[in-house]
Amino acid sequence: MTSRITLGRIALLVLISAGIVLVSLWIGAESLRWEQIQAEWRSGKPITQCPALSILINQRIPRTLAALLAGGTLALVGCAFQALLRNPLATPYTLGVAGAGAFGAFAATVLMEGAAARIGIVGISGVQLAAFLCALLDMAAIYAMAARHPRMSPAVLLLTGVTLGMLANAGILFLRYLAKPNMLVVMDRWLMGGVDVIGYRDIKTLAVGTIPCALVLLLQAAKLDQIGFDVELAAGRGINVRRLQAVTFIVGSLATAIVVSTVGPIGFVGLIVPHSVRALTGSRHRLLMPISLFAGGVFLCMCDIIARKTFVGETPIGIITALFGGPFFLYLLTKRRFVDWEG
Amino acid sequence: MHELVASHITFAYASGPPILVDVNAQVACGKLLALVGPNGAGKSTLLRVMCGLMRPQRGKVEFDGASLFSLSSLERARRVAFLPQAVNPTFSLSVFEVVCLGRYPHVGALRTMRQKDHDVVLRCLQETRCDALRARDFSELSGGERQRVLIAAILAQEPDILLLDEPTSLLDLHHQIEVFSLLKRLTREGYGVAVVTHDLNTAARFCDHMLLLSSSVHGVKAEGTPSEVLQESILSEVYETEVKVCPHPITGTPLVTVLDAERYP
Repeated sequence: MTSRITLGRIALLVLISAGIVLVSLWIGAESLRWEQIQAEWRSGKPITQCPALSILINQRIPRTLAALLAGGTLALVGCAFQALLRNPLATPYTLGVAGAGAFGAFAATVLMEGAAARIGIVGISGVQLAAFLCALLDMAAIYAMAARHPRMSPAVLLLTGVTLGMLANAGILFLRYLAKPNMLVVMDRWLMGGVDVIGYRDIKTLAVGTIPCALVLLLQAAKLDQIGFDVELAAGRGINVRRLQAVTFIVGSLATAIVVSTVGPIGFVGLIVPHSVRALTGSRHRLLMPISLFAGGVFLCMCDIIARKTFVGETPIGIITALFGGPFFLYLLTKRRFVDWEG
Repeated sequence: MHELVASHITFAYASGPPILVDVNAQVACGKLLALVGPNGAGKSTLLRVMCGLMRPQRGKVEFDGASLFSLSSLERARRVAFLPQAVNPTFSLSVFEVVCLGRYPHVGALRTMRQKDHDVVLRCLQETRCDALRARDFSELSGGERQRVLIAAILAQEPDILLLDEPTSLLDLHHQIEVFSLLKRLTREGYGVAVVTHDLNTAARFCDHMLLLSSSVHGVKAEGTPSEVLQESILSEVYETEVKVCPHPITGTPLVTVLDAERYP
C-alpha cells in the first residue's frame, strides 16, 4: 500500500501529539493551575515548599517521558518484529520477553518478600533486575535454538518464543499459587503495567537503554523492507539475512526487556500502533518505523491520561491500552486490509 | 561482453549427499540459457551457487574473470540478479514500490532514492510493459503480471546477468510464452539470462543453449543447442520414461511428449 501521508497530515498529527503531551503534564489526581506554577517559580523557594511545581517536576514530567519512551519503543519493536517474523500478529512480546520478565519480577517478589524492591544495584531495584535478567535468558534460549538451524527460520523463532512464553506463564501461576495473599496484590499490580511510580532514575535507565536500541532498529528500515517482501530475493540483493535477523532480534528483545522491567508488560501498543500507522504511511519501514516510534509514545501518553482520570483513582495502564486500543483496532480492521497474507 | 562462469562446482548441503559434482556452466550476455532436468537434479542449487547465494565446496564462480565471492554482496547484486521461484510478500506494496525495492544494491541501507533511481525504475517498468500497473497493489495482480513486475524489479538492480528459478511454473500457456518472449527480448538487448524450467518445449523455442542436469551423474548429462540436448534416447534415460521427440510443426524446434507406458507399450 502506498503512502497516504502528506505534510498537512503530519502537521496535524504533531499538533495533536503536542496537545496530548501538554494535557498529560496538566491532568492528574491534583489538577495544576498555570498561575500557581508561575507564582511558585517566581517565589524562588526550594522545590519541597512548592506543591504544584513539585508535582509537575517530580511526577508529571517523568511520567510523561516514561510513557513516550516506553510506548515508542514498544511500537518500534512491533514494526521490526512483524517484518522479522513475517507475521502480522508479531509483537514485542511474541518471543516471550514479557512473560519471562514478569516471571523474573514475580520470582524476586516471592523469594525476597518485598525486600527485593528495596535492595538493588546502581539504583535499579531487585525486582527490575530480576525481570531484566529473565528476559535476557529467554532471548539467549531462543537465539541458541535458532542458531542450531542452518537458516534462522521465522517459524522456529516464533514457536520457540511462544513456547517459552507459555512456560513463563505456567511459572507465574505456580508462584502465585505459592505466594501469600498480601503479595498477590503487589504481583498483579506489576503485571498490569504502569508508568505512575516512575522517577528520574527509571527515566535514565529507560532512555540509556532504549534510545540506542531504537537508533539501531531505525537503521535497519530499508533491509526490513527487503526481508518483509521476500527473504531469498533480499539475499540476492546483497543483504546478509542471517545478520539482519540476529541484529533485529537481539536489539528488539533487549529494548523490550528494558521497557518490561521498568514499566511492566504493557500490552497491545506493539501490535496496534504499527498496524494503525501502516494504514497511513504504507509498508515502507523508513517512514513506518519513525512514525510508529512517535505514535506509540503519544498513544501510551494518551492511555496514561485516561488511566489517571477515567475511573476512581488510578487504573493500571495495561488495562487501558487494551480496553481503548482494542475496539479502535477492530474498527480499523473493518475499514481496510492491513496485510496481504498469502503465505 | 560480460560473462558468468561456474567451473568444476561441487556442492552438497550440510551432511547430505553431493548434489553437484564437477559441474561447469556459463551465462554470457546476449544469450538465453535453459537449465532443465528432473526434480532433484540440482538445477535450482546450481542457479543459487551461480548467483553467490551458496558457496560450493569446490570450484569457482567468476564474473568476467574475477571470483564472485571476492566482490562485496552489493557489488555482486549489481552484476548478477536472482529471482527465486516463489516470492511471498508479507505486507502489501504497490507495483512501483516493489520495483523500487530492486534499487537496493545501488541505494543501500541508508541513502534514499534519487532522481536517477526513479528514472531507472520507470525505465524498467516500461521495458517490462508494466507502466499501467504502477499504482496497483502487487498482491492483487494476476500471476503473469506479478512475474513481469518481479522481472522489472530485478532489472532495477541494473545487472548484466539475470538468473531466474522457474519463472513460468505457475503461469498459464499464454503467460508462459509472454515471460519467455520478454526474456528473449532482454537477451537481445544485451542481458545474459539463465532460466531453470520444466517446460522443455517452450525452452526449446526460446533458448540458445541448454543444460540437462541429472541426479544420476550429479551434474550435466547433456549440453548444447535444444536439438542437440532434446533427443529421445537421452531424455528417456534421464526422465526414466518413454519420451518421443518430433519437430514442432511451425517453429521446427524439438517438441517433447511423454507416452503413457500403459496405453502405448
